Amino acid sequence: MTMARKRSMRLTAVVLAAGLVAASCGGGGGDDGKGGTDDGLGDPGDCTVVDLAVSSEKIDLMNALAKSFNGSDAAKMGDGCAFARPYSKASGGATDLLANGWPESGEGERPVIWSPAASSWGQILNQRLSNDGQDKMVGDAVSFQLTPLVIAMPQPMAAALGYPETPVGWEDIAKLSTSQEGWAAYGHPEWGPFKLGKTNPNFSTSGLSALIGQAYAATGKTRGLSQEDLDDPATAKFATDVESSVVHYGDITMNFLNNWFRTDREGTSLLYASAVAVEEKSVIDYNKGNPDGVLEPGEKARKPRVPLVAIYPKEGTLYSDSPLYVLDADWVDDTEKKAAEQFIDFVQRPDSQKKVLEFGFRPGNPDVAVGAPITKENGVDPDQPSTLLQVPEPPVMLSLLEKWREQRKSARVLLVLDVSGSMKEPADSGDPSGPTKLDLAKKAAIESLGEFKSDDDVGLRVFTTNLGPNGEDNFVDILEVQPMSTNREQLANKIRDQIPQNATPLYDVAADSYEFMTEGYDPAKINAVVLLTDGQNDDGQPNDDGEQLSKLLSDLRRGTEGENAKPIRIFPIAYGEDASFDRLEEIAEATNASAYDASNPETITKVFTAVVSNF
Amino acid sequence: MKERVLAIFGAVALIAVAVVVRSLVTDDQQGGGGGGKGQRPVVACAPDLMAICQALANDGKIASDPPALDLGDEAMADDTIDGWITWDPAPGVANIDAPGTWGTSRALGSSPLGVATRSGATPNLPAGCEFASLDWSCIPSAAEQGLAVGVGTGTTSESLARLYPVAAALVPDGGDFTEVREAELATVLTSPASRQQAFPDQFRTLQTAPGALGLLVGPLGALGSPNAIVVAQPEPAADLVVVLAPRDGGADLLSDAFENGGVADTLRDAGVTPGEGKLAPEDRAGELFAVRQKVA
Repeated sequence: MTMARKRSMRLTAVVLAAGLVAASCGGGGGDDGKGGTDDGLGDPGDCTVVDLAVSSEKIDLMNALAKSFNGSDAAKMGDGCAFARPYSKASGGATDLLANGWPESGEGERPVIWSPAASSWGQILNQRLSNDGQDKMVGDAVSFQLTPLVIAMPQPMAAALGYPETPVGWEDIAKLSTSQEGWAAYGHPEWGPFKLGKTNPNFSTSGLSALIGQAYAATGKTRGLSQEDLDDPATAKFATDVESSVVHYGDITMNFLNNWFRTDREGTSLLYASAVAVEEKSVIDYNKGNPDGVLEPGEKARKPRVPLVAIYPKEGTLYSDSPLYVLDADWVDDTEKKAAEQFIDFVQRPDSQKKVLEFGFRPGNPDVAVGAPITKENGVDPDQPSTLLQVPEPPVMLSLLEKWREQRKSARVLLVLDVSGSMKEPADSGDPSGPTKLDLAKKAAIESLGEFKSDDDVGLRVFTTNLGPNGEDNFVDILEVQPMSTNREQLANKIRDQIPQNATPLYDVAADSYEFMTEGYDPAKINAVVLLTDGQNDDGQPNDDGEQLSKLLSDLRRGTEGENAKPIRIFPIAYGEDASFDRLEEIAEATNASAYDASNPETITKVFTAVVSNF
Repeated sequence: MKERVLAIFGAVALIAVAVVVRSLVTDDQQGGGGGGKGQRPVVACAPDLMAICQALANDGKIASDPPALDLGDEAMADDTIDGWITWDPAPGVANIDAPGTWGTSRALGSSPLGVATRSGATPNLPAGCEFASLDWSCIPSAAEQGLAVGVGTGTTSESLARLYPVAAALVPDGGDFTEVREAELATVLTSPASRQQAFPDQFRTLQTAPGALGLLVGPLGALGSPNAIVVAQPEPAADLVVVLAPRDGGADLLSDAFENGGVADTLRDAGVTPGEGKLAPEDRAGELFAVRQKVA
């Protein structure tokens, strides 16, 4: 055969192959549907982008599914293609944003698909829109995975309660919460009082589900929770009983799990919390040695010394059902809706559902049977729960949240505000005439005051060097810790009055604030310090910084541990790029609390709100 | 040599693609069904039986894009629809809503009606009721003591067919279906934490979400396959029958379309044995009409 003939035949084959590819694409457009980048989540090219706002616990799974989808045959749409682009957005936060029209910038792309952790958020959204005279934004949705709310408990504690042979539920939690004996009643005085971890139901799905579960348990019902039920004094008492044992709240369950995991290494996990309301998936992740569900490069899973057991409340529970809502919003067009449906179809396929199971969720497609890692070896029971609770009607849910604001455990909080000279710097370095860092911090602090209830005690302390009548103090108490019923307006005014001044005596103020709060410790309240700083320790004596920090951490740990401890949680906010998040995290962890990152000053309002969600 | 084989393979494949494309185009041109839309009849299906209509359309037996149709739909009056594949006795119920809508039904297949539960969790049944030897009267009692029972909404074709024996158990001695014990019926219908849904959705829920349904009523043929499920056939025995009803006064339709091939497979997928089944007595439609009135 001549070379020319060979070339001709090869050309024919190539043309035919190209024709086949075009035919299989359904339109011959020749678009291969690739998104354009190697990781499958970058540049979508000409594809129709489906932005997905998804709850944080499933962001890694959704990214994995999106990577498989983008560029695949499943993503082809006639001549074009769909491109899924998930990002993490807390369910409660997304509900707020959607109810308020979701701004075009600053909060992530306006989503085409919204996947909160549970469909109860969809109901809340529709109810809020309806209350404002607006149309519903979500309808029926596919639930592509499930994970039930459980009460996670260290295995020895669950065994002490007789679980699983003896069913345990919210009724038992309420009794333990108000027991004078605490764990001594179960032969373990060394475990101290019963301590419960629960997230804030305005932010977190597990917090919301736990709240619903508590309310049903108080009434003995499994469905039809009504306004009359909520108004019943017995229901209110049950709620306050349960809340009374809460160590603190918070926006994500991860804070509890990380603290548990860290104290587990020290052998003190049983003293930090006795039980935490979390999703079943979190128990699996924890027991596999990976409490946040993500292994960073180089990080190895290491199993805890004391594993957790998932208690499925005997009164029933709710599933986080991960609905995939294609939003009926004015920013979603028909092509995006079609692309969204293709992605939704894709995630329900058996291969995708196997991935769902790998990540510790229960598949929504029955063709993929529940198996590892949802096993008793991992502390969970694939045959539980035995009873599913009905999601209350939206008005009842809103009322439940309203009532929780008053029924939650009260707080005693000292706000400690950095007024060092660096706080006068512009919050946005590109906008020198814009607001300063202190301007934004004050605004955020003032806005957060609305989250405190009347019987919360809140005080204000500011710190910088050369304060006081003689110019020798490192901090000044501006307002005593007093009930918000009397302090609210003064606090706002006093915060507004603050001006930037000198240096940053961080360790000194942290130590003294802790001691101050310990002296006035109120066991009936969440005792905490919120410490906002934009810098590192700078008290004019750099040589003893290491020693100062070491002593501070040692004092904090000593005061936090032990059955007779008076736990004062320090929640530091690392504000601006110069703040040392690592140091602040050490301080937070020494008190079994969490540090918050506001390195971008523009985020301070959101971060402050997240911090205050602990109360 | 290799190149030649490739080229031939490619050419053959192209021809095949062309044939498929042509057949699709032809199908579209011929589709549209009755009412002047071509030779093939327009046949609607109950929503949960749409796979049957789709299979018939794929086989070229009915017009393409078959509509979904259920009791209460406005499209019931659309006389371009030549026939309706649904659960017995829905056409009779529809004829009470609007007399003279549908002609005599023909059974396409049937399944005994069964009850399923998850194998890992024995349902908390009332005293005197055993799962293995269940009586339909146990179902309302079970719902009364808190067990979630999946029977559908009581308003659709499939749910009325599923609900019949449960409702029959609530007819007072010597009474009739207009006297069904309404409160107990409501307890059954509101027993699941999530609202009542069509059978395929509830079956999925039973398999994937422990605790959501304690008992599920449905076609035994569909309930029996998965490992995690156990089934019972309560007494007295009852059947679910899929029927094809022609438009009243219209000709018999599709007399040979259901015995073999993809259409028969879709019937089996719905848990129904093709070619079997006996129509319910004529008064069944009136009885279920009365039940639907209570539910509504």
